[in-house]
Amino acid sequence: MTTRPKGIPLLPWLAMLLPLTAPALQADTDLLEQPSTASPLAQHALLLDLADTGSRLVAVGERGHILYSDDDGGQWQQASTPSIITLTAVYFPTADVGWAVGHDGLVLHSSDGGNSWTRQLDGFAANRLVIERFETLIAETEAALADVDAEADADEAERLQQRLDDLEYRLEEARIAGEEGATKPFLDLWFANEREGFIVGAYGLFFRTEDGGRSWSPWFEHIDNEFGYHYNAITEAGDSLLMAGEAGTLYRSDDTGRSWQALESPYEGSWFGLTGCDDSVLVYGLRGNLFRSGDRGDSWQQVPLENTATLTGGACGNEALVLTTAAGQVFESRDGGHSFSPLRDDHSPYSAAVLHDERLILVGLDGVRSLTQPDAEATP
Amino acid sequence: MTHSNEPLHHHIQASRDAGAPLIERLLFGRRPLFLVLFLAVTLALGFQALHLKPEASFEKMIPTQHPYIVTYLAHKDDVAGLGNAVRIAVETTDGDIFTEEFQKTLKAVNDEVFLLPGVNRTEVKSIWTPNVRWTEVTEEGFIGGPVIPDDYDGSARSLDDLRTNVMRSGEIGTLVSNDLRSALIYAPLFDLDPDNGEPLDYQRFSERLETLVRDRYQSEQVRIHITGFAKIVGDLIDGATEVAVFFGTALLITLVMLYLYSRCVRSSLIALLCSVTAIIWQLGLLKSLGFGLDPYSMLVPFLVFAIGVSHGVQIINAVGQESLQGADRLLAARRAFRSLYVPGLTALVSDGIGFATLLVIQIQVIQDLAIAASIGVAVIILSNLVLLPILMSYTGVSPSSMQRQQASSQGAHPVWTLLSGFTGKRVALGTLAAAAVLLGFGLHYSQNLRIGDLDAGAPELRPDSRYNRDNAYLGEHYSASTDIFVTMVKTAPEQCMQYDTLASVDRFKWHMQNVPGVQSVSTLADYSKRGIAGMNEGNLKWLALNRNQQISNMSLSRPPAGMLNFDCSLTPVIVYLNDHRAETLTRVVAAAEDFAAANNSDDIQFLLAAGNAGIEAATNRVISTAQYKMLAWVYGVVGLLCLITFRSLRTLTCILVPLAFTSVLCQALMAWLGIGIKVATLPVIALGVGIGVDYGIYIYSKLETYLKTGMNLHDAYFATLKSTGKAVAFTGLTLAIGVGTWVLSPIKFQADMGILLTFMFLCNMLGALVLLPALARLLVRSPPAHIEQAAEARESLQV
Repeated sequence: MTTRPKGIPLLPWLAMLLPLTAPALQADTDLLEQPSTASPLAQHALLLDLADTGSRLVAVGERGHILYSDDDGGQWQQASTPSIITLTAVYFPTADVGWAVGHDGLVLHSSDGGNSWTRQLDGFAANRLVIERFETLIAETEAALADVDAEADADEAERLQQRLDDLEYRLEEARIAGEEGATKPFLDLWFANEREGFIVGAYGLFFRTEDGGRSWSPWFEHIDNEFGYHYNAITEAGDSLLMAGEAGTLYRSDDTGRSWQALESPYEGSWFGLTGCDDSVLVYGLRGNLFRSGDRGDSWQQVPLENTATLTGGACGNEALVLTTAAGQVFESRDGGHSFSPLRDDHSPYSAAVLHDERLILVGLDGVRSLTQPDAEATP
Repeated sequence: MTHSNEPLHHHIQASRDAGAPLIERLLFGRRPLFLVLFLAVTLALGFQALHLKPEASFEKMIPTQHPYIVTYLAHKDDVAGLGNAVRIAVETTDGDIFTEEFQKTLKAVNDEVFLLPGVNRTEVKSIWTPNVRWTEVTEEGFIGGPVIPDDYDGSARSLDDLRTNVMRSGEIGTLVSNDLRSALIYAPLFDLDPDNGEPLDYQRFSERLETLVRDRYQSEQVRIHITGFAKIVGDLIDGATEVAVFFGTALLITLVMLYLYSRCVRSSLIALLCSVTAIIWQLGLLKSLGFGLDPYSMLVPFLVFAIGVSHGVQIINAVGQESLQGADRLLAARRAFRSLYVPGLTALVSDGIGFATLLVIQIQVIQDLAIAASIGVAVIILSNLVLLPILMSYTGVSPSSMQRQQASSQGAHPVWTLLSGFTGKRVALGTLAAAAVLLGFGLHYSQNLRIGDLDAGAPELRPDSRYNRDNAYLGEHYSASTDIFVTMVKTAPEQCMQYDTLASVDRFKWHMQNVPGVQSVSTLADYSKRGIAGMNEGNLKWLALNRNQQISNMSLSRPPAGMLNFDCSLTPVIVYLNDHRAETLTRVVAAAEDFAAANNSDDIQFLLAAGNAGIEAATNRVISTAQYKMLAWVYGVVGLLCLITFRSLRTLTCILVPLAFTSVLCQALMAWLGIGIKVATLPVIALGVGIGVDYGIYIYSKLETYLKTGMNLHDAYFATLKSTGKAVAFTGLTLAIGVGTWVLSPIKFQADMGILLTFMFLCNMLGALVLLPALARLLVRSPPAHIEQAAEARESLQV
C-alpha cells in the first residue's frame, strides 16, 4: 500500500479497508506467521525506532509496521512485512541492507533499502540455537574434563566440573525457556557492515552473525551477565562498541564485539539508550539520568538536565544533539552534549529521534512527527 | 307512575322503540342503571389510574428478539461494570482546579456522592478517593501514593504537590479535564440494592443528584455537569411528567373548539367529560393489566381524547339535527345513537385494527403502544358511543345552538363552495398534477430519510437539554466518547487472559481501529501491554503482549473494572465512535461481523453487541426491516377494510391515494427536519394512516349516498361537505391539536412524534377534502340519473 495523498483524506481510508480485512482475518495462525496489514493509521500508531539509511528514513513499530520516507519524513510509505509482531529497533549499515528486530525474537532483513523484508530468525529458532550452544559447550567441557588428569591438576578439574554444573543448570533453564516459546524480545542491534553485526535483547539475549544473517551464533559466553539483565542499547563509539542495559549494566568491546568488558557504571538504575556523537558518547536512562564520556566510557560526567522523566532516545547531526523522553519532551544540545536545554514538550512519549538535513524526526506512542530544525516547528 | 298514565307511556315507549335495535332498547331502557354502572367503573378505574407510575425501561425500547440483544442480555451481568455509572464533573469558572476553595468544594461533592444510596462506594473514583494513585518508576521499582497528598492542608505547598501528583497520575482526560479546569467523580451504581435486593429507583436517584449535589454546590464560580444512564432515565421521567401540562392545554383548546363548533356549553362539556372518562378508563385498565406509563404510551391518552372528541362531535351533531326536526331530548339522543352506532363502531374498529398492526414490530414499547391504543379505542366505544348519548338524553342541546345550526345549514359556506370546485375536470386535473409534482418532491426528499438517531448525545433528550449540554461538556473536556460499541469476547472459564485470547483481541482492536468513524478501541490486551511495559520500567519497547503466561497474568494482576467477568470467561472490546449515525453503525457492525465470522471457534467467540451504539445498531436493523413490514400491514389491512365496505377498486384508489400521498410527504418532512426513522417515529405512519382512513371513509360513504340519488359529482360533493365536511375538518383539527402540543415536550422523541402526527392528521384531512374529489372526478362515473331524482334529493337537503 502507498501513502495517503494530500487533499484526499477519505479515499485511501476506503481503499485500505478492502485489503485490510483479508490478512487480518486469519485465525489459528501464529502471529509470527501473519503478515502485517497496510493501514493509513500506521504512521499514527506506536513507532519505536528510526534509522537513517543515508538516502531514506525507516521507522518500525507495533503490529510489524515498517514505514519509510524519501523526503525526510514528509510522506511515509508502508512496507509489507511478513509478521505482525511488534518491532523494537532498526539498523541500516548501508543504504540497501538493513535489519529490524522485535518481540518474539523476530529478526527481519531487507536488501532493498527497506521496501521488502524477510524473516531471518524468530524466538523459537533462537531458543534452539541457545540450547544447542549449551549442549556444545557441555560436550566440550566434558571432553576437556576427561582430558584433565584429576589427580595431577585438581584445581583445573574442579574448575571444569563447576563450569559443567553451571552449564547444565543453564541448559535446563534454556530448555524451560524453550518450552515457553518465543517470549523474549530483541531490543537493539548494531551492524558493522552488510555481513557482520549483533542483535541484543531481554534477559541477556545476544546473537552475532558473520554472514549477513544467514546464520546466527549465540554470543552469551563472551560477556559476563550473571543475572540475565536486559541489554537495552548497543552502539559504536569511535573504534569501540558500547552496550548498556538494565540495572546500570555497561559494557565495552574493543575488538568489534568479539569480547566484552564490564565498565564501571556511574549509575545503578537502568540505561535506556546510548548515543555516540563525534568523539563523545552519551548514556541515559531512568529518571532523567544522563552521563557523557569523552574517552569511550572510561570515565563519565553527569550532565544536568531539568527533567526527571526517563530518557528514551537520542540523535546526533545537524551540528546538534537531541534527547527524547518518555514524557514527550525533547532536549537539545549545541555544545557536543555538555549541556542541554528544553526544545519541545509534546506530552506523548517519544522513543527515538533522527536529525537529518535540517530536520528533526521523532517517533513514539503516537507515531511519527517530522519537524524543521532548528526551530523544530511542525511541518504543515 | 300512575295506572292511568300507563297506556300513554306505553304508546310513547312503543313509538320510540319502533324500528329500534335491541341494543338501543337495552341501553336507553335502563339509563339510570347504566349511569350508576359507568360512575362505579370510572371511580374504580380512576383509583387504579392514580397508581399508574411513569416509567422508562430501556429494555422495552430495544428489540429483545434481535440476536445482538439476546447476546447482550445473556451477558448483561458480565459487562455490567462498564455501563451503569454517573459522572459528576465539578468545573471552576475561575482559574484552574488547584485552589483551596475548589478542592474544598470537590471534596464536599465527592463525600456527598459517596453517601448517595445506590452508589457502589468501593468503586467511586475521584482525585479525592484513596484508590486513585500516582506511580513513578525508580531504580528500586515503582513508587507511588494517593493523588491527594497525605499531609494536604490547602496550603500553596500542598496544592503544588497535588498538581505534581495529578500530572503523574495519568488521570488527565479521565478524572481531571484536559484543560485542568474541572475534575470529576466517577460513581458506579448498583442495579439492585445490595441490602434489600430492590431495583434502583432511577428517578429518585436522579432527583437526589439534583438536590444534594447540583442545587447545593452550583454557584457563580462552580458549575456542575452530570452524565450517566441514571440521569438520562431520571430526566426522561421528569420530562414525561411535564406532558401533563400539555394535556391540560390540549383539553382547554379542544373545549374552546367544541364550543365554537356546537355553540352549546353543555354538549361541549359533555363531549369533553366523556372523552376524559375514556382516558380514565384507558389508564385504569392499563394499570390493572400490569402496564406502566412509559414516555411512548403517554401519546395514547392524547389520541384517545382526540378520537373520543371527534366521535362525540358526530353524536352532538346528530342530536342537534334530530332536535331540530322536533324530537324530544330522549328521542333525539336515541335516534342519534341509532344512526351512528354502526358507522362509529366501524370507524373505531378500523382504528383499532390499524393500531394493532404495530404488534408486528418486535420492540416492546411499540407493542405496548399498540395495546394501549387498542384498549383506548375500545373504551371510546363505551364512553362516546354509549355514555354520551345517554347523558345527552338528559341534557339535550341548547335551543340557541339549534337555531344557529339551522341558520348555518341553509347558507352556502364559501369554503364548501371552494372545495366542491375540486370536482371540476380542469381543477381536478390541475390538482392531481400539482399533487404529482409534490409527490415527486416528496419521493426525492424521502431518499434522504435516515434510519436511527442523527443528533449527538442522548437521543431521547433534546440536543440543547441540560443533560446533552453536560454530556457535550464532558465530551469536549475529557477524553472519552459517549458512543460505545461493545463486542463481547467469550472463552472457556479462566481463559480470558490467555496469550491466544489477548492476541486475537488485539488483532480485533486494530481491525476495528481502521474502520472510519472509530475514535479509539479499548481492550484487555491494552492493559496487559501497559502492565508488561510497567513491569519493565515503563519501557515503551515492552508495550506488547507476551507469550509467557505468567508474565501475562502478572500484567493483569489488578484487573481493570469491567474488563473481565467473574470467572474470566468474557472480556469486552470497547469501540469508541465519533457518532451514532446509522452509516457509522452499519460500517462498524459489518467490520465486527466479518472479523467474528473469520475468527470464531470453539475456543473464542466474538459476540455482538452491547453498549449504546451496539444496541442502537440492532434497533436500526430491526427498524429498517420493520418499516416495510409495518407499511405493508397497515395499507393491507386498511385497504381490505375499504374493499369490504365499498366493494370497488376505484373507491379504494380514491381513499388510499391521498393517504399514500401523505405518507410519502411525511417521510420527506422527516428527511427535511432531520428526524430519523426510529422507535418513536416508526409508529407515526401507522397511526396516521389508521386514523386518516376515517376521513376518506366518512366522506366517500356520504358522497356515494348522494351519487346514488342521482346527483352529479359536484352537487353530491357539495352536499357531502355540508353534512360531514365540517365534522371531518373538525376531527382533523382536534387530532392535530391533541398531538401538536407535544412539539413542546422536553423529550425529543415525543416532540418528533408530535410534529409528525400533527402533519399526518392535517395532511390526511386536506387530502381527503381535496384529493379525494379530484380523484373521484377521474375515476367515478356518475350513475345515470333522472333529473327528478336529483331535484328531489336537492330538496331533501334543503330541509
